[in-house]
Amino acid sequence: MLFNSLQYTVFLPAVFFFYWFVAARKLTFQNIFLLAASYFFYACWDWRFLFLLLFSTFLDYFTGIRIAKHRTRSGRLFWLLLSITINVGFLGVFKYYNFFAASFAELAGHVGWQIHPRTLQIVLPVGISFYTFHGLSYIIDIYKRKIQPERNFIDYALFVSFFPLLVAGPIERATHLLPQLKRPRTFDYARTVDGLKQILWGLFKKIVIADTCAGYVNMIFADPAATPGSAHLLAAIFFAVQIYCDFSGYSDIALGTARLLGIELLRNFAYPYFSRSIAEFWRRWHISLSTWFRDYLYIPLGGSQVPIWKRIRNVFVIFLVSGFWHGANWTFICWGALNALYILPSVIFRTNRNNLDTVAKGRLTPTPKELGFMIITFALTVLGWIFFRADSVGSAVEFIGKIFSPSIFSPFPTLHLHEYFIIPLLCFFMVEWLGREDQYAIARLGLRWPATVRWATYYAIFFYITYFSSGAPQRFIYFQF
Amino acid sequence: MRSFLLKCLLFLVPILLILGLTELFLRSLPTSYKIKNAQLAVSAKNIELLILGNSHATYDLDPRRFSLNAFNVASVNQSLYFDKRITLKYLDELINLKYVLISVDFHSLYYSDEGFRDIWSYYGYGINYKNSLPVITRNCYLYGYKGPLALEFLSRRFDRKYSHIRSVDVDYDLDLDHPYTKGFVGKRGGPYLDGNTNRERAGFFNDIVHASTERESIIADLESFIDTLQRKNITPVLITLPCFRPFGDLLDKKVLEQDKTDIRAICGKYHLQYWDYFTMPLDSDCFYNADHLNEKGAAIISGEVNRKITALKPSTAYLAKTGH
Repeated sequence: MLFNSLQYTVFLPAVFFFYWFVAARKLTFQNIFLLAASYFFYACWDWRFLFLLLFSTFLDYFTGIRIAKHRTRSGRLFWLLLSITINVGFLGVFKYYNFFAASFAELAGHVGWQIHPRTLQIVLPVGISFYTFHGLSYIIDIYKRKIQPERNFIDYALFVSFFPLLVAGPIERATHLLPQLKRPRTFDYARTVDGLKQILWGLFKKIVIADTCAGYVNMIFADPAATPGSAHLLAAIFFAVQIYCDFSGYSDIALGTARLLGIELLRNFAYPYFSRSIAEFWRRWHISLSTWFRDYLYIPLGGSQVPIWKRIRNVFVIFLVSGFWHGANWTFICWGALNALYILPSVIFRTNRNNLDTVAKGRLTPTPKELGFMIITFALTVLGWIFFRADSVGSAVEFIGKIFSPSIFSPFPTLHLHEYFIIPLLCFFMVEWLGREDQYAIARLGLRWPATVRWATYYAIFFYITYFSSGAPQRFIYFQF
Repeated sequence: MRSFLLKCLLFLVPILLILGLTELFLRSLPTSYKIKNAQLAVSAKNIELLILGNSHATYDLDPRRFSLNAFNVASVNQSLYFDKRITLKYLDELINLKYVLISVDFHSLYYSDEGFRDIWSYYGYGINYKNSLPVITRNCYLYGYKGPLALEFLSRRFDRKYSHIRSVDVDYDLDLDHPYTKGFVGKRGGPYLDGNTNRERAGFFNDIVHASTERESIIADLESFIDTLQRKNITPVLITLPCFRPFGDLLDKKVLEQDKTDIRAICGKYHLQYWDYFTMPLDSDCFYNADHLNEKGAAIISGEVNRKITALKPSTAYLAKTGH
């Protein structure tokens, strides 16, 4: 069940009403109901993988208690490693086995050995990377004695499987979500309206912007030879817009949905394309994953408090792992490596903590210098996204080559791009810019306007969503991870 | 909570009202499919010649040019799958039907679904493509037509140009003075024959064919259709309609050869006539675009087909085959 599907428009109100009208009397009922709804939500995709989710939940619940029980470090470490091995093992089999097998065979082929490894014809369970990371953070936090293990299985299972974040995050922390699940939740008008607005904006980003950009991007990437460099450049920029609107749109719907149910999830995006440096971009892009890697990988490796060569190593480790987390393909590894190279100077010269505030805070327009840095940062990320989108490293290099060819000056074909797409696209950028200091772009949009004007704005957004909706809901890009 | 629910309701009322009215409008809209279906239902008893096919037959074969009482039931991108089922739907009522012209073009044996037009055919004829259309699409026209098309229909409702022909789906340059006479509406304007467009269109058709895995099943379905017609003493004739020569040269030669082989095999098996006008020399001002004729071209080719069909004796093939 996709957030942008008709099923979800039935599912969500049903859950909302049952949750607040029937199950609201007791916290236990609320959590049991949410857990049941979450499992139903997941089973709609493929019920067989529900067993995998349940196993992963049981494993971390059980090992969490075992780790806390053991007094000796070796005993604690044993249970920690057991959990990590099994969790990462599942991830490895489902996500990376075929990649490693094929890469090994190719490598062996170069030295004269002909190996034909058996590939697994299996579907990647949706959300496996996300719920595995939930579980891992929980186990590691218990090991580090940051938290106590959760004894209530329902609460823990809900922490792992809460449906708004189950399939594509945000990657939650037990320290943030579990206390909320244990607190009684009451209906709050302002929070609910806020949640609805965030869902509306998320749908706009996904259906109107991301899916329209995707049509153009897919056509250019499918047959790069048929179009000039100008079309490649436009497709690369559109992909940058697409992946942002797709994933942040998903996150907005997830956060908005959770807010409807009285739960606050971690913020995942903070207007990354208004960043003035790559370091700032990575503080604003997929925040829950970036902070996960920072807390459970970068800092344990020494972070930035180590000699320079180790700092460089740490940067490469974190970005290569981050790339590999996205998928079993060399393109993702190249994307990670490229971003490591981008960020390296700021890490070496210790300027990565610059630009911690929002760009042009309190002002309507940025200074020319800020604008220049934003454009450069955006251009660098666009270049990186080409590797992310391409089928192979070779085709990404070819794609970039075409951008820097003389055909960049040819007029680009509009193909089947909607003739009025420019209107919502410009509105989108304008609204995002104006709302860049808020949780999401329309959080405070029109709060001082008369209700009729404000409602007219919501109707306009709704109209665009209906107008651009193609009927069959398009999958979210991050579902494949 | 009460305030929230009340405001939700208040917010949703205009939306539901607009959606509801749009739905009613779309349901009552006489699309080309609905018009053809209605005309076919009314005149079925008198029809002697039925013209089937995709856009080539839709715009190239003018039933008014035939001596027999003809009706054009072809539609843009209509596949043989739908040709067969539309005919079978009315077969018992087509009591005077003698001939069926089945347009078999470059890609006809390689596709059966019409993409987004499947639902248009469903709304028009009630034919559910391989029972694959979702319940929501079948029952909600707004969902089936999608937002942009629904809005285009609405805007045409208020456009005087289309005030008397709201039946046009999404096509342009049509003869609005003579909408859907015997199921036919001609093309005006053009010719649009520039090389880039031709290459793009040819690429589109080549891609359909190359991606297809349906050839054998479509041929089997066509053969069963032919057999059914012959059992009813109706004479099917396979026909390939003309295209602009430079465009034809861009189509995959191997596929064209395979088409000919397949059609010859079917004709041999069922003793059918096959009229191939694919390379028929026509002036460029007979074309609307590379693979569609305008009204002038349609008059020429329809006259030619009429000449041939009047020379035919009905259901001789079936008689010859069965020995009756």
